Amino acid sequence: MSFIDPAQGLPMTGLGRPLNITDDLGKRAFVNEDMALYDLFAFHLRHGRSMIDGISFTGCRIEGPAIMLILPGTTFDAVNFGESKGDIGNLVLRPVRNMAIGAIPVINCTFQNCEFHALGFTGNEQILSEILAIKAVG
Amino acid sequence: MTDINPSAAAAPSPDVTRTAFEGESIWLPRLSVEHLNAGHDAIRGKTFTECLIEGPAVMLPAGDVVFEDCHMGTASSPQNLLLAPVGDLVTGAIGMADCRFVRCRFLYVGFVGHEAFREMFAAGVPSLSSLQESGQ
Repeated sequence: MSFIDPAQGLPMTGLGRPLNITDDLGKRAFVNEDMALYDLFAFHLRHGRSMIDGISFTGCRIEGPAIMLILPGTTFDAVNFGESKGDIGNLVLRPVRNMAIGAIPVINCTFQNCEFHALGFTGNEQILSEILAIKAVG
Repeated sequence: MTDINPSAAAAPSPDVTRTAFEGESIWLPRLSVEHLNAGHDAIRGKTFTECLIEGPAVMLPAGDVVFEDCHMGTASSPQNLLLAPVGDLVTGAIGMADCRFVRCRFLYVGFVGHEAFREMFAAGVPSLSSLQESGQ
């Protein structure tokens, strides 16, 4: 299910097109399709996969509420990480120890020209520092 | 990673006005989205008794959230269930306020909060090793 209720009309995304909720969460490549990250993860779990692995997203809107655990091989290119209220740190959570239970593991995925909504991000220190460095841009 | 079965995903749509849940599987992302779509910024004023609370989700307990005799999740240390905010605000977590969890079990749910909450949480949740030692 979407963060935005389709019954109330499909609003424009920040991608210059109306919301377009994917009808196939099993794809390996999504183009101009939108989804909730927890729905995608639940789909993969039901199919015996414990991570979202090797999927490409182009021009997609990915919604929460969810925390994405960024694992190696995942890349972001021209992505809107979402409303940060002026501090990119507001999108970042740091694991207290060495696990991130409750976060959705995303590995070897590519996000290009995507926008995120109501998503937070966690990962290892290197990944977190790369995200936190975004605030230096602009 | 924990292998979970989000069995609650197929459950009927929850009624956001309900204040008591007993013996149910609650898929936390869905409950949260129902509340957000209804204009509520958090899940407030609910009592969950003997429920299975399923993620994937990270919960942000904000104000009078009580856990009584709950199984918070499987981890070698309670600190593995915790995340710390980097900024003053938290994005992507599920806010809860004035909620009570009684004898509930949490599955693939993490918790985020500031230092005082994390210390209280870590002190109140026995580690897996101590449970094993006590035979629970």
